[in-house]
Amino acid sequence: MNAKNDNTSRSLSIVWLVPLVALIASGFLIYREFSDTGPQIEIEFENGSGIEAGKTTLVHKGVAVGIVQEVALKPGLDGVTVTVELDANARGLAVEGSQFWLVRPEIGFSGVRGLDTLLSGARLGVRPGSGEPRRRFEAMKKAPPNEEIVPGRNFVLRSPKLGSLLAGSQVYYREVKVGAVEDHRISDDSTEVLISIRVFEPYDRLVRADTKFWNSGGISMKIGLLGGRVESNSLESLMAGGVSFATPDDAATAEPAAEGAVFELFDDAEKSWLKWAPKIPLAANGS
Amino acid sequence: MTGIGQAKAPLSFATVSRTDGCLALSATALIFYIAGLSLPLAVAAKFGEKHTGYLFSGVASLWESGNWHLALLVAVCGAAAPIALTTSLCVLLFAARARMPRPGLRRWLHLAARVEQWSMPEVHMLGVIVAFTKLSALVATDPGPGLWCYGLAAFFTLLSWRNFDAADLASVLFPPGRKEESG
Amino acid sequence: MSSWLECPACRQIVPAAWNKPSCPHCANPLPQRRPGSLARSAAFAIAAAIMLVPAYTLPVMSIERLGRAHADTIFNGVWKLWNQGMWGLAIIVFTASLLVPAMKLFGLALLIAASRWRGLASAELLARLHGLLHFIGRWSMLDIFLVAFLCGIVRFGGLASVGVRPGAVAFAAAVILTMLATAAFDPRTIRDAAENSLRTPTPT
Repeated sequence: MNAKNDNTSRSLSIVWLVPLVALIASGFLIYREFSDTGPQIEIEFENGSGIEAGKTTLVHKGVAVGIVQEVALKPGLDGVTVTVELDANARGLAVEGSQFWLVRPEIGFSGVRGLDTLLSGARLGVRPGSGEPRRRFEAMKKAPPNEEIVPGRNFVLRSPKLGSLLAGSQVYYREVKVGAVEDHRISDDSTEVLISIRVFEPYDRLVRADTKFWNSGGISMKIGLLGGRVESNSLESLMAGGVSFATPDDAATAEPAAEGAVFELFDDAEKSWLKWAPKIPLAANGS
Repeated sequence: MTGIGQAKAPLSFATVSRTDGCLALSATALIFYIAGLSLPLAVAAKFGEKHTGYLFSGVASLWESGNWHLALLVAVCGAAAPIALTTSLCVLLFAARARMPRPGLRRWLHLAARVEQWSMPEVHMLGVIVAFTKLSALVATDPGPGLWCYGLAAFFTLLSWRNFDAADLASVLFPPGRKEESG
Repeated sequence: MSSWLECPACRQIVPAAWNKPSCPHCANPLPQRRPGSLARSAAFAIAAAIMLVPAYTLPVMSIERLGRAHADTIFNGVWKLWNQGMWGLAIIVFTASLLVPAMKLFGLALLIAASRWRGLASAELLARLHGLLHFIGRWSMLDIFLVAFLCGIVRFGGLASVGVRPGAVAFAAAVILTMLATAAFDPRTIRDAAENSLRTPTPT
């Protein structure tokens, strides 16, 4: 046999260190790469336009925390299911109460939002909830007016019609902005419109069980026998609509309304409501 | 063949045989190809949106945009051919080292011969580096671990191919019965 | 299609460049010359030369930034690199995309001519040339890999994206054809030519 090829020494030659090192280094790198990824969640959207697998990112507080893996039609063909892979450090987003939405450029009277998506394409936004881990979510129809988590409470207003309220329309107390309209949908029995609003802290304690809400946007004209009267709130509510509320005087004894409480949305305020002036401390140690 | 007495030195340079060395180099190249393909090559970021690119990202986007011929070309010359080459070398050298001549091994040798001229990971590497430099003028780009692994894979492929002695290997694996020393 | 020969008896693989008349292992004569290799090589080379015309005149890559697309030919690309101060890169791309293909075609022409018209150059030189062509052939693929990589990573939607234009396909075809031409060329024809020019000419 040719001595040149004879491996007479069964001892390891040092050259085998090379693939060994390669194996260890590669294994380490691959492990690190795949442990960097977090859980996968599924979000249901009505419409997937603008969402692209491998490209559209989920952004939270200006940082990309996840990326869309797949966009698929739901089995019932009534929407799309978007699979998002979260970064490892964003796994806290996959919990109860987290809200997801599609950020599109919007120019409205609450301000200009999401303009950068004109250039970079749509992205997804998230408002984290807290609670049990969860994998499937339903997307919000529209982005909430304030993507930052502004502390406050959500309420639901019932009304026969939408009354030119947009997402982002303001909520007023004593003509001061204290909240915003977030979303709306037609009720399950199609008889009325349900409007979701958010009242920011500390003003959310102004809302009690007997608070009255009315549509204060646009122009209301009362032409009566004694002449006409044109009333409107600010220019903004003239264009974008708005909701105002007032709380009866005896509110000091009533409890603040619970999160998600339902109220009726009136077309107009009764005169007496405008005179209510309950003393409700807004400071932290108030009731 | 059991170990002879001088197996005292567990790691020794002197007894590196060509087959061993070449096999080690080929195996290293193969390992790094796998790593280089599965790890990201580069991460480009602009306006807070980042995009991770893999070796096959380029191939995939070429394929999607309808340029399937280019996609195939890049995939073959950049990945399929070098991997086929290193795999063939590994198989052949391992068989030679273990002294297991089998008739089917000839196919691996033919494969290596056919595929060698189309295996150009080093050109790919240079192309990526040039593109990288040009790209960092456009967006913020970071090289990923996949780039280093692929570069090392290309390097080790070259090394192992240089050290590959086809004639020698054939004399071990396919002895015709009467052997002559060849150059 | 490759420059490897197979011994008909023991099926040993012998590189054609070794110029061995017989198999190093079983001493059987190796096939002397693959028929028609010269014609094949010439055909590929001519096709490659033809493909280089659209390759150099048509744009190869388009960069879209903020909705405006700008397509570049290979020349443009090199020029821009140079202007941007990236001289090293410009030289690399220029060499790989312009010099190398030109050299290859020129070298191939030389080889083919030398095989037809004996005594044009020494066999030694030509064999070296063939080896050289074989080696540098692959480097002209540089531009293709470059475009492919950029295509894959610059995908920021409307912000910036890279697309491939027909010039790149033509260029890739040209590169492949030159590689095929080099591979199809049987270096044994050089030796044949040299030997035949030394002996009294016998009809082959």
